[in-house]
Amino acid sequence: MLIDGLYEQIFNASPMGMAIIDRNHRVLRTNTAMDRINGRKAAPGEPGAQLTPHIAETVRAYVDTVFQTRSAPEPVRLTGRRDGEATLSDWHCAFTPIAAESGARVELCLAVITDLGVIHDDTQRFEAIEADSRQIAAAFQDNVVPHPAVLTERDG
Amino acid sequence: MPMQADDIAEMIKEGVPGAEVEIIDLAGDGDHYKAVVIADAFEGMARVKQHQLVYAALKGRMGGELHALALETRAPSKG
Repeated sequence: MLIDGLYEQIFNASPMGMAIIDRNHRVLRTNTAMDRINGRKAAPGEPGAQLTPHIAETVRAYVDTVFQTRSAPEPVRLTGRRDGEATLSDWHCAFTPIAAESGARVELCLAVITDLGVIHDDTQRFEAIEADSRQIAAAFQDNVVPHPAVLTERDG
Repeated sequence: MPMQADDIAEMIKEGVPGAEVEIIDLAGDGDHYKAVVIADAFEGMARVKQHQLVYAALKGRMGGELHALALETRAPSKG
C-alpha cells in the first residue's frame, strides 16, 4: 500500500485512471480504472512506458516536469492515434507530486488519466472531467504517505 | 515525416489570428509536441471549442504527420 485512509479509498474508487510513478518512471501502483484503460493489471515496478503506450512519451515528459519543478503542471488534453486505428483519440491527464512524508527524500508523481476514447467534442463532459481531474490531483498533492518498503528501497 | 515545431506554430497562428503560440517538443523526437495557445478569440469560449479551433487550424495533420499533441488553450484574461 502506498497511500493511507481516505486517499486509499479515493484512489480505489476513482473512475479516473490513477498511477503512482517514481523518478525512474516505474509504476508503483495503479487503480482499477487505470488497469481498465490498459486492459490489464500493472505489475509493481513496471516501466511506465508499458502503460498507456499510445501517449507514453508525453506522459513521461509531464512526469519529468513534476519531478523537476515539484509542482503540478496545468492539466492537459492529449490527442493522438492508437496503433492501427485511423481515428484520433483523446486522453485527459493531470499530474501532481505526492509523498511528502516529513523527512523523506522520496518523491513520487500521481498521474490521473481519463481515456476519452475517440476524439470527442462533448463540452460538458470534457469540462466535468477536467474539473474532477484537477480536484483529485490537488487533493493528493503532498498528501500521500509512502510505504516504508518504498522508502527503504529508494533511500537505501 | 514528422512536422516541425515552427510549421505547427505557423498553422495555428494562421487559423487563430492573433494567437500566442508556444510549441514544445516533449520527447525530442519531432513527433510528440505540446502546444500552448493563448488567444483573444478564446475569450468566453468553452475549452472544447478552443481545442476545435486549434485542430481546425492544423487542417487534418493531427494523427498523420503529427502523431500526438498535448494541448493547452486559454484566453489572455485567464492568466
